[in-house]
Amino acid sequence: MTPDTFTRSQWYAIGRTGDFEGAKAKPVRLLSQDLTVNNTSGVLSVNDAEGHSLQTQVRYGHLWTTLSDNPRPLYDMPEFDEPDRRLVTAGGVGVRCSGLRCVENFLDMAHFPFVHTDILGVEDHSSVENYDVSMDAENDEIWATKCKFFQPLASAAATGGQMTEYKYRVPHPYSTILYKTCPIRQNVWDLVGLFIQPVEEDECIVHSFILVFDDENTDTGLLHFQQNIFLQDRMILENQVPRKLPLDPRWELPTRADASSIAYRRWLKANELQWGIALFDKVA
Amino acid sequence: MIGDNDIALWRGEDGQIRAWENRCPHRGMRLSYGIVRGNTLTCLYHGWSYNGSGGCAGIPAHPDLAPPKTIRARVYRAADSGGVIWVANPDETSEAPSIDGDWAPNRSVHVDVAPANMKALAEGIGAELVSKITDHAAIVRVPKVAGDVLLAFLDMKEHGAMIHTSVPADASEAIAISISKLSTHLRQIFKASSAAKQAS
Repeated sequence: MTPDTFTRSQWYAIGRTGDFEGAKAKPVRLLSQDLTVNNTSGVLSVNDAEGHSLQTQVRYGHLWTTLSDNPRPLYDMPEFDEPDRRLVTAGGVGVRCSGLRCVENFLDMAHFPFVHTDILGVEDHSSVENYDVSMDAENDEIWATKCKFFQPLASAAATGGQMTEYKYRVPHPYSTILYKTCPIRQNVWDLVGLFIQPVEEDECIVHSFILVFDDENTDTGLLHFQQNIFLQDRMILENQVPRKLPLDPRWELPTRADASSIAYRRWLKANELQWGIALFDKVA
Repeated sequence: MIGDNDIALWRGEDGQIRAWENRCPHRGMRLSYGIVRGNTLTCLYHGWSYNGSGGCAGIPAHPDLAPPKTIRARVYRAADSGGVIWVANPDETSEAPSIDGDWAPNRSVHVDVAPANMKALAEGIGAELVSKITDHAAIVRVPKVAGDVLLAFLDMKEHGAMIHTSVPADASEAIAISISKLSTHLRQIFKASSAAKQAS
C-alpha cells in the first residue's frame, strides 16, 4: 500500500545527528522506501531512490525528513530550549510491529503493573483512575491529562514509591511525549518521548529521548533505565496479533482505562490514516 | 496452529485441556504468554483474566467493574484422548475422538511437507491401518512391533506438519524406542526434496 496523505505529509526522525558522522549514501528505510543520507562537511542531506533530494531539518537531537513537498510543520517542544535540562537519546531500536502500536503502548498506564512490575507499577495498585482526554483543535493534537498512577520507581532519579502524575501528548501519528512529575524539582515536568520511524506497515524503528532535570544519574544510568523499560515493552509489542493496528472495534475491545487509545484510534481514522492499519477480514 | 490460526493451549487446576485463539480480545497480546492461576488464564499485558470457558473474569485497571459478557476469548474445541490433545474449530459438530485404553505419548516430530493423507503417512512409517480415528489420525500396526500404535498428523500447510505417536501405556521400552526411531525416519520421507521426487 502507498502511504496515505496524512502519513506522507509528516516529518520523520531517521536517526540522531551523531549517527550520520561521515555518512556517504548511508541507507535508511522510511515508509517502505529506500533513502540515503549524506554528510557533506557536517551538512546532512537525504535522497530518495531516484536521487531526488528530500527536505530535511535537524531538531530535538535528530535528523528529520519527509516524503512530502508540502509537509505538515513539525510540532513544537519548547522544553528543548530550557537551560539545565539534560537530553539523553537512546538511538534506534527495531520493533517488528506497526509504529502505531508503539504509540498506543506508550499511552497506556494499565500495563505498568504487569509489564514493568516493581518499576512503573505493582500488581497491588493496578487501578487506573479516570483521566481527561482532549483534542487541541488548533494544533490537531491529542492530550491526556490528570493521569495518576502509583509507581514504586518512577524514574532513575526516584528513591521510592510515589503517585506519579502524567500528561501524554500525541502531536503526530508516530510521535508521543510523556510529561511526568519531576521527582527532584517542584512544578516542572520531565519529558520522555518516542520519535518513531515507520519502516514498513508492520515494522518500525523507535528513537527515544528523555529530557529531564537530574543532577545525580550519569547519562549511562538514565539510558539503562529507559532501555530496560523499552525492552520490556518490545517483548509485548512483538507479540501482539496482528502486527498492524486494528481500528475496527470488532477486533479489539477497549475499556475505560483505554480512553487515550480510543482517542488516538479515532484521530487516526478522522485523518483517514490507512497505512499501518490492519483490515478486518477473516477474524470471526 | 489450525489453518492460519495460532492456538494457545492450557490446563487449569481442574486438569481440563483448553484451546483458545492465541490473542487477548483486548489488545491482541498472545495469550500463550499468559499466566495460569487456578482455573483462569491471565493475559501478560494488562492482567485481564479469563475463566475456563473463555469469559473475561477481571480487569485489574478497574477492579470494581464487572467485565462485560461480550469480552470473550475465542474458544476452540479441545479434548484429551490416546495420549494426544485434539483440537477442532469452534463450529465443528462431530464428537471428539475417544480412544479406548491407556496410552502414553511417545514422540512428536516436525516434517517439512505434510503427508497427503493418513494412508501416505502410514506407508511412510511402514505401517498398515487398523482403524481410522479421524481423517488425520488412526490406529496402525507396524510389522515386527507388537501391539498398536496411534499415529496422527497436523497439517500446517506451508509450515509442514507435526506427526504424533502414542503407544499403549503398558508397551515395553523397546517398543517405545523402535516407534520413536520410525518417527525420526519420517523426517527423511516428508522432506521438501523427497516430496518433489515423489511428485515428478
